Amino acid sequence: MPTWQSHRSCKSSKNARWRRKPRPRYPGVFVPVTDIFETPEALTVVLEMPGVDRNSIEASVENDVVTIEGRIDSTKYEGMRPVYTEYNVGHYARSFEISDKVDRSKISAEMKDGVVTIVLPKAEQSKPRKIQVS
Amino acid sequence: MVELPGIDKNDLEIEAKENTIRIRGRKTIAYGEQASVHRRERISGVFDRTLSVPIRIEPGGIKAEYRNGVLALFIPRAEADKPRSIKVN
Repeated sequence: MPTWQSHRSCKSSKNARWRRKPRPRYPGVFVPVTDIFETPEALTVVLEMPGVDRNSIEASVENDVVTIEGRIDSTKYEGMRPVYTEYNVGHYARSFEISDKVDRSKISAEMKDGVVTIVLPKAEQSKPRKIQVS
Repeated sequence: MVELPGIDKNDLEIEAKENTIRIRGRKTIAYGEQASVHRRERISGVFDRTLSVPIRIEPGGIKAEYRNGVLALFIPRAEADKPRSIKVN
């Protein structure tokens, strides 16, 4: 079912090991690692946003695009001098296009241990149905 | 600090010895039996990593905190490793 389409390509690398030039510690916005799976009832999107607090997540649906943003509290890192780093710290954002099969009024989100789970229930008419053969 | 999103605290094991810290555990991802997966970017499984730090560790004083998918370890320097001032006679 071609319901999903990644809306944004990778902007900057989360993993500092693959970088050539050193960059500032808060360079930009990262594209979170994401799983998408489908059950007969719903589509579920799971995004990894380590370091993001539950209250710093913003999810919105506009037209046919779902956007999820997570903001990092950089004050925690103030006054710290890095000795060794291999990942970058920064905000996260990713958006997806959804089809009209998703019931927009029932979308829900949950955050636990740096992982955001968004459940997009399917609209009643697009749920799979068995057809009786007479 | 280690990024470890989506891990059960009870699946984390941390060991400290002299100047090394070992962090290991398991990350499980359950999609459910009925699910068909459209996109799989998250990585799950067993991990094990040993880090060397440039100081001798006081193992009893290590504080570990797992919050929002980030493991933070506060590692104090061992008493024997601290500089001592010497009095000149």
